[in-house]
Amino acid sequence: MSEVIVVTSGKGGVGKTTSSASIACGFARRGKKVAVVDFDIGLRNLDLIMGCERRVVYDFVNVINNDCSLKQAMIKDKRFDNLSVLAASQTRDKDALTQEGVERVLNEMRESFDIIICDSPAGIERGAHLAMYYADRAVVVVNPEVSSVRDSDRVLGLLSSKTDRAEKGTGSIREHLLLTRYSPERVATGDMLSVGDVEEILGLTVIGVIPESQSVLAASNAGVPVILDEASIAGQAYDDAVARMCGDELPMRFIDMAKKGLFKRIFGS
Amino acid sequence: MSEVLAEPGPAGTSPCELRQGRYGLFTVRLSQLEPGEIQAHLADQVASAPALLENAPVVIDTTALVRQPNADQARDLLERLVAAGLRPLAVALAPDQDTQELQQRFGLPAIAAEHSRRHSPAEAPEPAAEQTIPVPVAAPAAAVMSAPVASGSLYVHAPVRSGQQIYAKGRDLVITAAVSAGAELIADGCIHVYGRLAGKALAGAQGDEDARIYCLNFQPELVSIAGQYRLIDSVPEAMRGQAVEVLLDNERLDFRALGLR
Repeated sequence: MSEVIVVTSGKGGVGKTTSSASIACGFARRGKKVAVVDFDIGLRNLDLIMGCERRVVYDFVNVINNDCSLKQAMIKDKRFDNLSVLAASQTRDKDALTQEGVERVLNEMRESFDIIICDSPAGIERGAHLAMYYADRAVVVVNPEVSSVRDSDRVLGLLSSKTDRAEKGTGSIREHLLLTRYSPERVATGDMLSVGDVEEILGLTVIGVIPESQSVLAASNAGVPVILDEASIAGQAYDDAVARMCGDELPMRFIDMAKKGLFKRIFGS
Repeated sequence: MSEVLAEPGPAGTSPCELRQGRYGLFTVRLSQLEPGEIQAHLADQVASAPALLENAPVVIDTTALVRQPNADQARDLLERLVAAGLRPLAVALAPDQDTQELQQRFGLPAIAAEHSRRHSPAEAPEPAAEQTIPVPVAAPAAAVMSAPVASGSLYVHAPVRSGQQIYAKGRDLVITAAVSAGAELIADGCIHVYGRLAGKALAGAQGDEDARIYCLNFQPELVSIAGQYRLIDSVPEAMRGQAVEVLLDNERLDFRALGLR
């Protein structure tokens, strides 16, 4: 049974593409056949984060327009041969996507992949709408600050009303909340919303909390999804989140302040 | 939406105001006889809340005008209301006005104006002394208006998220989940929220002053009953986050804590 998972948020810059890349690798590492699709037509980023930008020949819009076959456009990942990337077009805009085209491409993907990750653009317009429209599951990426939380709330509302499942009444989309750029220190000083605050406002429990980490930026620039950086706490947190999406029950890590060691306690930090 | 249901701004900002009246109808209350501006203003209001206002029956209230429109102006006014998307149903009658004359002039039934007691005598129109012999009109002397009849409640068992709007036309609205900031609940009857209310809640949207709002965790952006509204900043501090009942008492919103005390 194949599953379409949209990674969305409403707000920009919260970590949708970073999360899409890591979640895709996480599923691939667990042996699933995974496709990850960049819906951000005109602002092509996913190929950079995945490290396959030099191998983009055909893109999503080419497949929609029948310029090439889906097989020709899917870029196989060099680390996992069960993971493929469909890049966005950099020269077109979101109007190049049609609902029928998106449905046809996703249906074709369902035949050969277990998991199809749709990396949504920011906003709630056409691109974001089409990215979520055919989803079975949604990962709503949220930062611990009020504007991001409100935008996520809006997106959760759209997921429950403006999607194929909602409109046809074929069951609701499973919603996961992924809290990114979390800093326990700033929560402690009251600068940042806590996990509990976000869960209360949105009425959902989080599937994962990704701590703010320098390794995320480094991984993005290197074209290696951060989940593959075993030493990074952000990478470990992404792996926990994917495990939970697969049904594992794991305690939440990295949400409390790191305890100061004896040295730091004596000499200060 | 709140704009429509809000209290009027300072006098003179618009030539008319649209508000819910006690008839279970909207009333168009004219403050200046500027037909073009009236039409434009009302068309804007209808466009801002088509679900609520399009083809809504309205009562025309001219009692605040210094000079009453003559028969031609009255006809023009009615046409403009229709063009704005409203359906004039009756004309409001001040206590000192002649029912027959008014009915004839507008070709509509007359019903007692709801705000007439607030008017100073100076503001009220002169009795039509120069009027000619009343000609009988076809319309009944008084129309009986009834508020929309509730037909069960509208139940919502999923969270109401930011940007979503729910309108329970002619009935109560019952939500068994949280209502987020930026969401909007509108009901012609009561609103019950068995969860956190952080959005807007407008009960008695067609003017039912007996409508109430109940909620388990009260932190709304705005509450309104029959057009009387309050923003969260003017809600008593002690009520926030509590289980609260909101009701209209003497045209003022009253907030009461629910539960054992």
